[in-house]
Amino acid sequence: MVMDNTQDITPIPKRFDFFEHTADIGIIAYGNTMEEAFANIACGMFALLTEPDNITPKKSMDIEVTGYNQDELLVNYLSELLYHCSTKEMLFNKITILELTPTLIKAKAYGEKYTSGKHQLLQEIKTVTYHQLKIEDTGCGWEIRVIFDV
Amino acid sequence: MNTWQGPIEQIDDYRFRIPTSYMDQMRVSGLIYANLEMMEYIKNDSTPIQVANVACLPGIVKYSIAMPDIHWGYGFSIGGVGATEIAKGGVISPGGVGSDINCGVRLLRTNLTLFDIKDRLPALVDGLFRNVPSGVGSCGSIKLSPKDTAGVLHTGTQWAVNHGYGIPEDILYTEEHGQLPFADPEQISQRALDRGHNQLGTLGSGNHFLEIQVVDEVFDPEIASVFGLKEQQITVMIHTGSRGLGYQVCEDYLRSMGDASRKYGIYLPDRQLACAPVDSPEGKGYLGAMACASNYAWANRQCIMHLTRGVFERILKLSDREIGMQLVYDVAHNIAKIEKHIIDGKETNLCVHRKGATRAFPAKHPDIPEKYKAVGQPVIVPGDMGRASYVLVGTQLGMNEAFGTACHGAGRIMSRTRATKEAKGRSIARELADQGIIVRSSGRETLAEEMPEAYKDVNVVVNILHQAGIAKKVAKIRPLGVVKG
Repeated sequence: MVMDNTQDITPIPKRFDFFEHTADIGIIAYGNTMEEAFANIACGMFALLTEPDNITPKKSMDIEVTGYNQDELLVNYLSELLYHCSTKEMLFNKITILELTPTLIKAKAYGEKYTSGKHQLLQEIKTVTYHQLKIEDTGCGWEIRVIFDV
Repeated sequence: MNTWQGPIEQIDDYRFRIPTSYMDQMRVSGLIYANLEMMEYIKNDSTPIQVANVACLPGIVKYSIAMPDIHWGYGFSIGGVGATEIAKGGVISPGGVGSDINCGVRLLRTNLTLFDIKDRLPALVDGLFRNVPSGVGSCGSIKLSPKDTAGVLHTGTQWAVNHGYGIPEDILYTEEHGQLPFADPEQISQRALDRGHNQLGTLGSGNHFLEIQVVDEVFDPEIASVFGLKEQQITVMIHTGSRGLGYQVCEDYLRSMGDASRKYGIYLPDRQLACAPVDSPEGKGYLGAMACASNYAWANRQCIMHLTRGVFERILKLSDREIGMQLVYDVAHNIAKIEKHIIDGKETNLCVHRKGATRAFPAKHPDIPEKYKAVGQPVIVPGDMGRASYVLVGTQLGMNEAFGTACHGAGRIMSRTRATKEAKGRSIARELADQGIIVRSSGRETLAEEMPEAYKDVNVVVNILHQAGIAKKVAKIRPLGVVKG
């Protein structure tokens, strides 16, 4: 028997989308607050690198980054996470933002070390770019757009 | 992506100009090498805006140039060339070099012909795939101690040869002898070192490749013979760069150059053109770090060449002498160089940015190997994995007009996402196999992203430069077996 459960399902708000850009790829992340959008853009970035559902958030790492302004802060924050990924082979799928000002971010990133067989690496991100970077309060939530050099 | 609405003036069949009237801040005009058909594509890619933006850089001389393989990039377009006069406050910009510092190609010739390896081709491709680490975040068997790292950053190819990865002759046939002299490891962050310590001798992912090829057509037998190339000969091409170390240097300096641009009051039409005068502490810092990453890249390609020689010897059960795998030349196509050029009749020190563009010096230039002095520098132009690659030679016209520069490849025409979508339900490996090309790849999506249709036709790109006289065609090479990251 087929049950119609649609009434009971609360839709999970979309956290991020990918969009294409010439040679590269971009992510647009959403959030009710700027903090949530900052957390979601990082999760989106790791979803570019690997299948996020295969990451078990069993280890955490403290992240603290500064920037000259909000745009730089965002780029520096994502670059920091990428650095931990490329040197410590950490993959993250959950981020808690502890503090966010226009020039400082403190966060806790949860994930685990890359394990061959469990995780498949889909692509390499060379750098996080400033091109068409946007952090915006749309009136019905926050949106962050970032393009990655892949 | 915006379509270009600004002015474009056609100079001749292969040259187009963006006049300085387009934007107040332009110091020189833009010069694009293309044909009419290519120009339509270029306009839709909005790269002319990037050519115009580069024309605003302090100290820029002559023109902001775009090669026919131009496509959109960060700051500078890929295929962009910009030279600044150092004595006049000329700047250096990490956005004019790119993330993969000294990404480049080397071409190896052999004594073998297609007939010699035909039956062993699958085994050779498998051997290369197994022995040269490739793919996302690939790490190699060469682990660098801090002392080794310093050696690589300082002396590039020289370090590799001294440590048994090659022969002294290889150094002679590498641009800059595989070692930029102004390398300053003090300018390299710990983070960049961390990312580089286990990646020497690895191909990486994306468009990087290792290819077994055959010389398909020789256009200029005399010059080809000086380069040691003839029809039906087997060659190998290596395309990779400075890996994570280079990406980190780019990131570090894009950050600090943002501050420097503010400090020196430099107008930036695009944040990714952040720059500093070459002669400033910030400019020198980047130059020193970029040179280290460049040397790392040369050592990387040298180590991969050494691994390749080993694979050929083992699989073919022939001696190195019998195989005769020698370096034709190694070129950098993401780099900034300090070079002397004639500007307004005077020899002038310039900082020449070549981002997705290849140095193409003419005959008699002091910086090319003795053996090639009479004909000019070989320019290695890799195409996509289904069509062809080219060997060109630098010309005096290219020297006078484009700072001795040619294109770097075919140039991407389709985004990676679009290519993956278009390839859905197709087996790119099978399609290539049907054309007689064997492909091995580490990444699931790589073959789709890198399929031939994702690129412009390299034949057209190269013909534009040949007709324009900027570089001349010497030989066309076609792929037989490809290892992709």
